[in-house]
Amino acid sequence: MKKLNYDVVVIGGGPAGMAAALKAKETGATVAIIERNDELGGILNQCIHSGFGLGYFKAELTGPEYAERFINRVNDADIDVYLNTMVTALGPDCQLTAVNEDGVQAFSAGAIVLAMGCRERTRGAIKIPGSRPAGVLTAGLAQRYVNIENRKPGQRIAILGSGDIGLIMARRLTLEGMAVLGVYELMPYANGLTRNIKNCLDDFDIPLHLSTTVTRIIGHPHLEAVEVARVDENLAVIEDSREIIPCDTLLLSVGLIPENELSRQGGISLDPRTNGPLVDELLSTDQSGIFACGNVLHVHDLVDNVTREAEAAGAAAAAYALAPKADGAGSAVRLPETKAVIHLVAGENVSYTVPAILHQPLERDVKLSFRVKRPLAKAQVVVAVGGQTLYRSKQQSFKPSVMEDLTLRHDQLDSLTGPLRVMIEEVR
Amino acid sequence: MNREKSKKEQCQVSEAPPQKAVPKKNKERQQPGRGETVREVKLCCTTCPSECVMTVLTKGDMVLHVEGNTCKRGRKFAEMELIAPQRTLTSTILVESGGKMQLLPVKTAAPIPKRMLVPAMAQIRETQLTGALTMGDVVIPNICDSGVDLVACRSLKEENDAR
Repeated sequence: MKKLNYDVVVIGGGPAGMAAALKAKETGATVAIIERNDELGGILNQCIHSGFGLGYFKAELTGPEYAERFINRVNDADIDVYLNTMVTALGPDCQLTAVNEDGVQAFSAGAIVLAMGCRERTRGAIKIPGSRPAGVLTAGLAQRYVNIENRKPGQRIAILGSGDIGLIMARRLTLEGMAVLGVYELMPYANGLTRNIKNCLDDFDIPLHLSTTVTRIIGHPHLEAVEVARVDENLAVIEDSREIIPCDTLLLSVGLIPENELSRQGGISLDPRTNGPLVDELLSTDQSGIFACGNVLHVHDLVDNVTREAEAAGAAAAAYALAPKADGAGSAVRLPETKAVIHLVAGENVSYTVPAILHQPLERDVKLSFRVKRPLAKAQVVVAVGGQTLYRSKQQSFKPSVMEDLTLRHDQLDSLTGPLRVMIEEVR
Repeated sequence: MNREKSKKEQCQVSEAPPQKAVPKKNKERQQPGRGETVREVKLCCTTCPSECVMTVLTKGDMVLHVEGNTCKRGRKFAEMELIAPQRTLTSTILVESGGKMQLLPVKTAAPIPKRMLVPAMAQIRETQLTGALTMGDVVIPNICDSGVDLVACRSLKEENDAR
């Protein structure tokens, strides 16, 4: 068995993995990326629509273009890339086991960055009753069929859920000549970005049915119809609103789940609110030397935010890996457990915060990412400790589909002892 | 990052129009027209992820007043959207490369008129390419006489190329 040594090993070669690897390399570490697919780029390769890179590159790019810019940087940066290689075990002390065509590979790392991304929620996760025919698939799978494999998922398409991938696919399938009958959304508001509602549905007169869901799947062995029904404010089905929609394909765009089987197996504590690792201000998990970024940490809506977060994780991982070397004889192994911990509490209207904990003393300002639980027309973000308000934003509107962030000054945080509460106060 | 944040905040606050702007709007409504009435349209700018919701006052083909935008691209977007809406089209084209059929992602190098999306798709479907390509290569020049080229969004190597 080969033994491979690197300062930093990054698991996953999508946008998060590539940005983390590049930053770690820039910081002076030796770096490897392990990717299970046969090319770098991750899900960006099938996201052929444009709208990527407006923040990071100040240019409107398609997914493959955003990916290729990073792939070129990785190729130029003397980073070892292991394609067609799957990590099978995350051991203690940053030891990794992976398999590929050459057999089992053992990696020994100074630090590890988790960048495995996320996967889609399926029919099983939302428990739609009815038969189990062909023709029911996730929006991302349909995206792969149409944009990479040149297959057509069907002819008459219904879409459940107004997540961004579902909206993007509504437009894509319409342009490819399929009939998209409608998008059905359980909640009274859309889950996707406004730009996608406008450019993908409104432009093509595809109806968006809010407070409506699929209540039954009909047909066998192939999908023949779905039953849809409106729901009341308690999300209970309104009986006399049931309607049969004949269709041969049902796309599901009902959310994403960070892919953390490996993290769990490696003993990393997860945050039940994000389904991603519980991290501190350095994006370090509770296992020493293991960092996390991108959609494996929490689901993002813009890749530009993934890239920035991954750069922070890559820099922190490299600093961790290089610290014992710089001090000689491995004497300066960081022991975060000896530091004081402040917890971040998701208060009123806030579903989660990343990071979830902070270690004092803080060396730099802390960027907090969070999502709201429900749309709020006019509200303010408030960060408070006990009765003391540390931060209050301007009034703005909030939507659960938009990830928000704010920066807290480290000098404000160092003297704190109690938990930090992040909440959204509605302005009436 | 901070600058973007403040933009976003301003944008979202402006969903409720500021009080000051009201008399101005009324004034514009009272302008003597020549048969054309002043219309108020709500538009969401899709230029960047800030998604500013704009209130636009128009008369015929003229944009009289835009508010709610947080940068000058908002007004430009409103003018284009109301008179000649444009979209970037993205799709895929079949490429035979190294004895294998692959899909190449493509886009219009600039937005094209919205009405050309469907004819442009037809032209894309009729096209087949062969050989290696580099990101940015023109694959259909001047698609549908729009004056805009269709370009490759990724590089494709011949199958037997060394990685």
